Amino acid sequence: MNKITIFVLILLAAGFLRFYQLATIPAGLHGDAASQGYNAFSLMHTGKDRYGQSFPILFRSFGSYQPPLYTYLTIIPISILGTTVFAARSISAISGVILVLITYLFIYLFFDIKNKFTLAIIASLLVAISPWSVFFSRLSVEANLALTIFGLSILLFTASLKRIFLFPLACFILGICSYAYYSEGLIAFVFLPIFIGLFRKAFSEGKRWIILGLAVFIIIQIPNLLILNSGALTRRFDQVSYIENVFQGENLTNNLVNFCKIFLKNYLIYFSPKNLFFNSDSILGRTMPELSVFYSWLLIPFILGIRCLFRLEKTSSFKIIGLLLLITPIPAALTGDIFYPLRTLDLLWIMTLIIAIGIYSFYRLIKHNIVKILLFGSLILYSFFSLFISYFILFKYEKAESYGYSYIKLMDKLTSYKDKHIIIDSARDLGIGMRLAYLKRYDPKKMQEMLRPQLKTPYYSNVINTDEIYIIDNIEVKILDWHDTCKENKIFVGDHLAISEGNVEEHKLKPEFEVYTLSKDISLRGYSTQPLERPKEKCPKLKL
Amino acid sequence: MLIIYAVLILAISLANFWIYRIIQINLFVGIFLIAESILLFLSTLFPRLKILTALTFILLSFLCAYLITFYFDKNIFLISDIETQKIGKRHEYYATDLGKIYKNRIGIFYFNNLRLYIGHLGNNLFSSLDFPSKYPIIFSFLFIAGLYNLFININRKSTIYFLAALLFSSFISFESKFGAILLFPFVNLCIATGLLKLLGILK
Repeated sequence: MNKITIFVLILLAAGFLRFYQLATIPAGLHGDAASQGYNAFSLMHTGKDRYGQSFPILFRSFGSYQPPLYTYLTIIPISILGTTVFAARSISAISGVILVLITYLFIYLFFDIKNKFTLAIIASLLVAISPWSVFFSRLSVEANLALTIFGLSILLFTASLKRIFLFPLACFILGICSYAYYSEGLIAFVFLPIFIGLFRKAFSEGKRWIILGLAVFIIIQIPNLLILNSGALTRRFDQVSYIENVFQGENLTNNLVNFCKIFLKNYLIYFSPKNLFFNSDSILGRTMPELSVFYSWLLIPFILGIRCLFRLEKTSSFKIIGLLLLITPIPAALTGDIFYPLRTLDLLWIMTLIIAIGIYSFYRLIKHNIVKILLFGSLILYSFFSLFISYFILFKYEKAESYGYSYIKLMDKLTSYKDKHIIIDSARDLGIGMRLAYLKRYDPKKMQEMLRPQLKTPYYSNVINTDEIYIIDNIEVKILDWHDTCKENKIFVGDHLAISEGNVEEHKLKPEFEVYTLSKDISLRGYSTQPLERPKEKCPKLKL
Repeated sequence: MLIIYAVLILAISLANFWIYRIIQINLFVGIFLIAESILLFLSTLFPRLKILTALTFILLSFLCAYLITFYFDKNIFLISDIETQKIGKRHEYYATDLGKIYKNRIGIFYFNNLRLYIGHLGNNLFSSLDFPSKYPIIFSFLFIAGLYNLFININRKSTIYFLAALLFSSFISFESKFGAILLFPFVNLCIATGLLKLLGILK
């Protein structure tokens, strides 16, 4: 079997793991994904987002801002496939496959070792089947797109060490990262000067290219600079970071010491073997049931890989991987969440490369091909099996509600109530309205007219209201107002926290339907109002 | 020289809260762990003194046997109420999606029992790797330096010790909050090695 065939098979495996049942697993559509999808749909038809903002630099959404690149790229699949769950996730899935290619090229072109093809194949295969890569490729997450772009920039930066004219292009790609996801945007600013300093000898005869590259990087940031004073760019950081809380005290020294302690603790957590190779969704909340970000057996190759890396000390590969290993956890370590893989996909990618080096070093020790085939074949099969059980079965059923599955099933139920005014409670899920609007292809102009007046602050602002009301055809999405129970022809929809048994009894609501989760628990209930059944004093304005 | 190094490792073994808490629970185990730290360190520094190596692993075997006998983690093979509820729910999922692969004796035993036992062992194993922060913070830099040195100049003794201690720690529950006590000598070895490396005594 020749080299290209092997690599094509790996790409096909990567594609299969990312696209197989992409529309149905995860079951449902996350509010953020619906927001990206609907904004893309709105841009496609009107050149404006759902608030009527023309080609935004950041997309205002649910109390924060979404980086723009993913949304703009989503226009492409939506224009081809329509407003479907598959289209909303496509860009992330495609990014995941491209990352496999980038990994192969990075190793094959820049690792100066014997049998670099074998190492490149191992690395690309690992990226293709790693739980973290498959998991995040199947979600509509900007971070996965950002990782691919960042990986491409690293490829170009490494190439520029020998072909300096590539440096400006690498800076261009790196600059785009800041529009893909916040973590990569911050890493870009840390990486660039350190990279130049680390390889200053290699760049000493091409200073014009370096200056050009820096100029390109700065020019790319102009749109961000235009909104810097508005507070929008730092809004997300303010939401998730602990820095403001730490520096509330008057004693600066104490504050700095506390900050260092918290930062160091949060930073080192991303290197915890338990978090990387063992802990799964029930504790971390960001991977899948019974499987961590890496397969457990990869701990041993990881340790071997670290050792091999130390032995490559003076090579440029070691310097780049070492640099990335140190700086990629920084953005996540500045936030309050304990071990949040989504913010450190770059770190996970680098660790995958290190693990590949470890596997490669072990692979070379084995002399007999039959032993290699049996051992690695078994491990790969076991890994596929674990991934299938954890993701395609357990994750599908147990996490369906986290992705609003019930609200998609609700849409089918509501087709029988077209003559009623439906009111859906949005207290615990801000994305309900967007989900409905996206899947129903609601007119973007009507949406803009509905949402723009509800903005209580300028579009780009550090203060954002989230109390939005969506009215899509006969469906209203808002926090339930019990005064509405005095009106006829209404259907209230909510979970057991929104509409308790006490509420049902007090407001004389009549059960209409139930919506079930994938695991066959009742998730939502629909009740019709019966104002005539209520005491007169409860509904004084009711006309008979 | 042997005595100086022995005093050094003894000092490191006593300069942390971990050993005192272990001694509070079981003086016997505490003393043997200190002795093991000294033996492991000296056998690493003086590889030609085979008696030290032999004593290190004899003592390790004794400690493992003692801890397995009196502190065996019975929870490895117990299924908690929460796990039982989970199994009940997941039975439907597996039955629907796996069909006959699940619906047989081996399948049911694997998914409802074996995977849980392996998970409990894995939990113990990985918890052992999160070394408890019972040492003064300065020791963490020495620990990293020592670990790096052992990494680069792979020492078979310390590697075998580490792997054996890790493996047996998966089966032991010695007051869970005190971490994997069998790794105590290895941690001390790393700290001592880091210190010697820093002082330029070790190459």
